[in-house]
Amino acid sequence: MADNLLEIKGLRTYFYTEDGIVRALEGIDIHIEQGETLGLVGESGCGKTVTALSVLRLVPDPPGKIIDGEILFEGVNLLALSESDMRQIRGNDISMIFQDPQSALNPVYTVDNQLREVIELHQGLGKKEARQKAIEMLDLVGIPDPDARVDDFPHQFSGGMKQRVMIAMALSCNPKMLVADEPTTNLDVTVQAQVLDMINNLKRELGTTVLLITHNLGVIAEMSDHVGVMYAGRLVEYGEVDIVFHAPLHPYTIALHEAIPKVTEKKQKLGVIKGVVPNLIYPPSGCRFHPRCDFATEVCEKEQPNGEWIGDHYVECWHKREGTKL
Amino acid sequence: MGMREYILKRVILIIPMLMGISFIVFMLMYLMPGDAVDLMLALQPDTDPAYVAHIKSIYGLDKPWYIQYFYWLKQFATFNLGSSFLSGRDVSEEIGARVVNTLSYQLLAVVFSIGVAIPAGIVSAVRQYSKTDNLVMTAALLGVSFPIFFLGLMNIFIFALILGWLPSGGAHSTVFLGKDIPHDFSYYFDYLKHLALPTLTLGLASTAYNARLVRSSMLNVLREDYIMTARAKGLKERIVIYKHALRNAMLPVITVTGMQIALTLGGAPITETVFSWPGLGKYFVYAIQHRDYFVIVGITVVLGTLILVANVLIDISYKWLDPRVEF
Ligand SMILES: Nc1ncnc2c1ncn2[C@@H]1O[C@H](COP(=O)(O)OP(=O)(O)OP(=O)(O)O)[C@@H](O)[C@H]1O
Ligand SMILES: [Mg+2]
Repeated sequence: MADNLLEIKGLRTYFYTEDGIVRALEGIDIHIEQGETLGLVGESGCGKTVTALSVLRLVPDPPGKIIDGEILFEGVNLLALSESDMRQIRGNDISMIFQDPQSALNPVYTVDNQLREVIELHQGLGKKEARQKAIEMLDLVGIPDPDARVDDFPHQFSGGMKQRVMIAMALSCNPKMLVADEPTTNLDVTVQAQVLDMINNLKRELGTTVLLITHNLGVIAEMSDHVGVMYAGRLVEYGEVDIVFHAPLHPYTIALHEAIPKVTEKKQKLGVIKGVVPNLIYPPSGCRFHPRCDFATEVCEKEQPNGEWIGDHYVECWHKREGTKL
Repeated sequence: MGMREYILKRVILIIPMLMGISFIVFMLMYLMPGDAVDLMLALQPDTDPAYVAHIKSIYGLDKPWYIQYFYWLKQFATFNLGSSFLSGRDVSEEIGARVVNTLSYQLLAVVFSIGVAIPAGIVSAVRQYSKTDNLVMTAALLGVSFPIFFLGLMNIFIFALILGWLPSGGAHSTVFLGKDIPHDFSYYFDYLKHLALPTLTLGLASTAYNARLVRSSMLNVLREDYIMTARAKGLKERIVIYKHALRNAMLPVITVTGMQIALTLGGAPITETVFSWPGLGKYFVYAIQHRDYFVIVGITVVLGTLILVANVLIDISYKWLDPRVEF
């Protein structure tokens, strides 16, 4: 296996709510190779965001708790770090951009203020140099007239421009890894393509490793090297994008593919698979997908399938669909 | 619209508003039975009616109320508030002698309330459902449950009667009353001691309310995405709370404080009566009891102006805190 920048092993993240324990992540194993883009897909509520937040140890506590597992970043277990050591990593080694640029920037501070903050914190630059760096970053993400725009407030930017500002902020300390949680879901279709292109270019230019979370299989196909398919708090399939997309093994991955029209223009909600995502307080027994699976048998209901590696291709299913061609 | 035009517009708007409230006050005053002359002569029922009529005509009290209002307005246009029927002194002079007493404890109460409520609310929000949170919120619930005169009497009972730390009423001890009192340190210290209970009483009531407000506002803000962004940058929790969350959480607090100023100034008659505090509120009650019309209108106009000015200041500070606000 190539050099892994990040390795997640047996990660369990639960939310202790009034209604019961939400088992949001039930033992996830995943790794990201140095310099690659890993796509993470799955229906709403399957645990993509919780995975991202767990990596940064930003799961809201209460009610959330990482109760088990290891998150190795460059071989160091992040879960064992002190809070202050973890702060050195956030925004510096690993940064994150969020789904909704409208609300991800603080409305009462200028872009200059918010960019400088992270630059001054991690690069130890003075106010002047940090401002210069902020302007450079805005220029890099394609914001016209950055010298003037740097003093604007977030509400003076359009949605796409705000997301660019977020990306500038996330990349300003040249992080080793960027976690992008549905970075384009809330943007116009035309802007989506521009922002994705930009992330792709910057990633190549700066050599950043990217964890890209999305609903959109098309985006994954375009951007990622590997893809992980999540279902109800488990990673059910993982592999190279070409292989997982053209010869998938898990019935859920196949269903996801069949749920999108072949010529897609609009953002597509993946709701066409029969049934709904299970309640994670009382997840289904055995394989969590079995109530919705066309191929489920008795064993699926009783026992959690063991994960199986076929070369670089991972699948977790009692009845993997070998020979499927899409 | 720029800040300057906005302030100018608000200041100009004060004029019609003052005309409106003074008109309503006039109408209400004259709906009350009897005028100042009737009350003064109430114990001498056999006074010559012709003499009574003569006196009334001197003060214009024989005219219909709207005519009297018109005369008053003409005077008011030259910043003249008329004179008191009772003391004969200018209303502006009478008000000037008391307005500082009212502003002093009112402003201190706001400072006290905000100063206590913000830290209490923050701690409560950051440690939601902790022991501290429960304690603060229980205290706040008690605070908002009591009417102000009850809080006042409780404070007098505890601090003046039982503990004997503070005077129970008035603005000065008797040694500082009368002429030729040196305004030295002991004089002001004595004043501050008298100021403590009215301030505390008024402050406690709004502290309780504000602490709950700061807490809920803070809890809302802490759920915002930009707080997650701030944490994801690697900022210390202290900076996340005091820089990124607090400023946003203050916005509703500022708005409510603006509304509270009108309420607490309007409550001055009660507070000042409880503490025999020689301010505008107590004087207002006295003026109503004696139908001292120009004093009543004068105080209304002055308090109204203060409230309007306070609201302009609130709006300006809101704009300063939140760049999205356009005037
Ligand atoms: N703060 C929280 N309190 C309780 N439950 C939570 C909390 N955050 C997430 N969850 C639960 O964890 C599970 C996974 O949520 P997550 O946000 O990771 O989904 P997702 O895959 O990112 O979905 P989406 O595509 O809608 O963003 C869900 O069942 C959700 O209800
Ligand atoms: Mg999500």
